[in-house]
Amino acid sequence: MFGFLKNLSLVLCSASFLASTVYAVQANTLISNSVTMDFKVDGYDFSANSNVVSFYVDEVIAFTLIANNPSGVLTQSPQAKVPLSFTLTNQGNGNEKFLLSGGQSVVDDFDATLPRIYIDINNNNIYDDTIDVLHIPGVNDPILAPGFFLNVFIVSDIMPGISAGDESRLALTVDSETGPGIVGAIFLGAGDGGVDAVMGFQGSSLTVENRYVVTSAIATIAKSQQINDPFGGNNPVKDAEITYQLALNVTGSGTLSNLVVRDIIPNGTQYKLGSLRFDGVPLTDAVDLDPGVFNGAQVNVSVPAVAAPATHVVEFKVRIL
Amino acid sequence: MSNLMKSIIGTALALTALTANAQSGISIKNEAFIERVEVKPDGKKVTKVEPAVKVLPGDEVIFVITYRNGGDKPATDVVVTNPIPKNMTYRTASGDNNEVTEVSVDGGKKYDQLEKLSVDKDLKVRSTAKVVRKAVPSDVTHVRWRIAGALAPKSEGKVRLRAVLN
Repeated sequence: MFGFLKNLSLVLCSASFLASTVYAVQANTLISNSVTMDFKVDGYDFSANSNVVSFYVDEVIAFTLIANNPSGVLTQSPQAKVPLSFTLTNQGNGNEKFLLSGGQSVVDDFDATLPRIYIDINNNNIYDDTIDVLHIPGVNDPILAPGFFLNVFIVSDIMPGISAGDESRLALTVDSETGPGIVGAIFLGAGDGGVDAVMGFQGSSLTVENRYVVTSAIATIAKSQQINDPFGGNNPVKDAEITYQLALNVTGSGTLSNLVVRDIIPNGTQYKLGSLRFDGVPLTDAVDLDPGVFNGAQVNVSVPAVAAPATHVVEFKVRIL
Repeated sequence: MSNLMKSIIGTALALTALTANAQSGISIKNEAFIERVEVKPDGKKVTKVEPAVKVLPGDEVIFVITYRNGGDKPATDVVVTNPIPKNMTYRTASGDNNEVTEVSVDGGKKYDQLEKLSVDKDLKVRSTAKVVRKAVPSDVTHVRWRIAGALAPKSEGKVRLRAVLN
C-alpha cells in the first residue's frame, strides 16, 4: 500500500479530499513516555528521569462506502453516460490502496450497457467525461490518505426500448489492497512504515448497490428565433419580423398525452396573423378543428399524444412595433 | 567538537547522573503494557497483559512506573511526574501504596483531583475567565504521585497510568 505506488499516490491525492471528521493518530507514529522523579535526601534536592518507553502505532484499515443515489438515478431510454455516484472514505489511520470493481444485479429488470468506473478527479460529485478519469484496475487504483474521501462513478449507457419504471441495479465493490481478511485479521508488517495492519470493522471488502430507474417520456422545449429586418439584414429594428421556432422534444419511453405548447407574444411585438405552423403545416388562428389557436395574447398548440422518441416543431412570426 | 571530546563530555554527564543516583540510590523504571482479551476454545475470555510494542488507536496502554530507593537513607518529598504522552488521552491513574494521585489540566502548573479542576469552555487551558467547565479526563496534561512520608531504604513502590491511544 506504499512504496512503489508513491507516484500514483501523489497523483491521486489531488482527487481525494479530507473528510470533516478528525481521525486517529496516524499509523507508524512513535509514542514515547518518560517519567521524572523529584525527591530529597538529607535535605538536598534530587531529580531522576526514567527510561523512555516507546511503541509504534499500528495501522487500522477502516473505510466506508456509500451510494449517493440510494433511491435511484432517473434516466431515460436511451441515454448515454449516466452516472451512479458513490463515496469512498478512508476512516483508518494509514494510507490505503483500494481496488474497485463493478457488477450488475441479476434480479433487476435490465442490464445497463458498458458500465465503467470513473474517479471524480475534481471532487464535485458531478460526472464530467472530459475531466473525470476512467479507472483502469491495476493502473490507477486510488490510494487514500487517512481521513480522505473520493467520489467514484459507475457510468453506463441505457439502451433504447426500456419500459418506464424498469430498474437496473449496479454495485460498486471496494477491496482493501491489504486484504482479503476478516475483521481483526492482522497483516504483519503490511501497515505504513512496516507496522502491522489490522482489518477494521468493515472487513476487507465492501459492496454497495445503486440503481438506474427508467422514467416515462420527458418533454423539453427548445426555443430559437430568426430576425429578418426590412433592409435585408437581421437586426431587431422596427418592422423587423421574428420567426420563433419551438422544438418539442420527447425522449425516454412511452407516450405523453394532452400536451399543449404555449408561448406568450413578447411585449413590443405583434403576432403575424396566420403564421402559426405545426411541423411546417399551417394552422388557423381560430378555435376550430386544427390544434392551433392565437387568442390575442399567446399562441397555443395542442398535441393529443406523442410517442417517444419524437420531435415536433411549432413556429410563428411576430413583427417588432 | 571531536568525537573524543563528545565522549568525554558524555561520560562526565553520565557520571554526574550516576553520582546523584549513587548518592541517593534512587531509581525509577517505566514500562508500558497492553491488555489483550483472548477467547479460549471454551468461549471464556482471558485478559492477557503483554508489553506494548505496537498499539492500535483506541487501545488502552498501562504505564507501570516503579520507583525504588536502593540507597541506605530515606528519601522524602518524593514526587513522580508523568506528562501524558502526545497523541494519548488520560484515562485513570493509581498507586499501590499511599501515594496521592493528582492531575493537571494546565501543563503542570497546578495539580489537584480532576473533579476539582476546571478549564475554559473553549480553550484547553485553566483560566480565571468566568466561562469555565469542569475538567474531564481528556483535559489532563500531567499526572503526578506524591509519596506520603518517607521512602525507606531498600523499599519501592509502583504507580500506574492508563491512557488511550487517540
